[in-house]
Amino acid sequence: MSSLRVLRRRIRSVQNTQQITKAMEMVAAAKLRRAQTRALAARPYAAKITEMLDHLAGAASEIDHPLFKAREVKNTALVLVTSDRGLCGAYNANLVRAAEHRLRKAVAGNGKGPGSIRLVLVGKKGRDYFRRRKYPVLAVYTPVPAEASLEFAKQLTQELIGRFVSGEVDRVELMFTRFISALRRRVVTETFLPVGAERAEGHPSPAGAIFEPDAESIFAELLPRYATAKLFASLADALASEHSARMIAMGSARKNAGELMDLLVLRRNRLRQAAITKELLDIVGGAEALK
Amino acid sequence: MASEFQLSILTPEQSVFEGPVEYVQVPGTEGYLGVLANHAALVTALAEGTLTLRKPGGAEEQVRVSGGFFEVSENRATVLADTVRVEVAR
Repeated sequence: MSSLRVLRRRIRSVQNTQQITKAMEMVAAAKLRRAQTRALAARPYAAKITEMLDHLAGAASEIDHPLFKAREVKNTALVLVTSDRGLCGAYNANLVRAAEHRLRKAVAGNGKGPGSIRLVLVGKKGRDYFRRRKYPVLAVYTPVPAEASLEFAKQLTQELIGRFVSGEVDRVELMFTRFISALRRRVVTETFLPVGAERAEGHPSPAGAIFEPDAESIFAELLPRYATAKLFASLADALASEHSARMIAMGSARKNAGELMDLLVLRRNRLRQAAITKELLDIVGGAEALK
Repeated sequence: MASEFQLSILTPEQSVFEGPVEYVQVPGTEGYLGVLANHAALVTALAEGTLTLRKPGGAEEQVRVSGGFFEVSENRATVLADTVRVEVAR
């Protein structure tokens, strides 16, 4: 049976943990609200530019743009968006597991070395994991801006486009956590480059639309912006997901600490009661003996 | 009364304007162009310049855009701007 002093110390420590997790939960909730607003605000633009791209792909007679052309895939870059900070439950573990699965599948699938898929790691957690295990890493981006930043998305898109156009990679995949609601999120993989890879053959454009100057040149303007918008929306989703994951993880940690507290306090009270009773019995016994 | 149509002005970060307008003038790469209700379907790239919109009732607003795209189809106009700045009415 643990002594009263040890028990008291334990209670204090659990109490501290509870306070910290509660504070972190509230901070994450506040950050989630902001991040969620940002993620949702990015969606109308992304949806519209996708629609426009479809229209144009249908209208332009001959699309001969390097970002649009699918090549034979020899080298793939996998962009993995993780977080810089931990204490967010299984958020990063899920991403890392999905990425490892993707890498293993690639190795098993074509019999080529693991070098045919290389990682572009966004966020410290992904970097730490894959660097330690000596996976082929193409580039690392950390720290990630605390709020989804268009500048950051632009820069990253530009560098990925550079690698794609130069032929260093023939395909870029994007793996991140899609934000569904404060309670739901999912790891998804999307093809980032070439741009057309996930789009169907292009829907017919609005009948007889006028293009100015012409469909092809608008298309060329549109492609990089489309890529940036898509990446920006993904990063915004990832951030909102991270905060929601942390909020939930901290919420359950706080609850667990509360349950443990109840148990420990009960045990302490019982122990204290027993000590008092024992002391009383001693006194009564002593008085009795003196009579 | 002039007829109106829906206009939305979007940037990658947020939606800036959403509502009915009577008229909008945008800085196309080939020069400024104005659009009224029931305009034919149109897609154009935008240059840097000032976008002017007239709300039902005649109130005008000006928005600075730094490039992007403009699309009209079936009485819905959409501006996909890179960045925008709302100009203070003079």
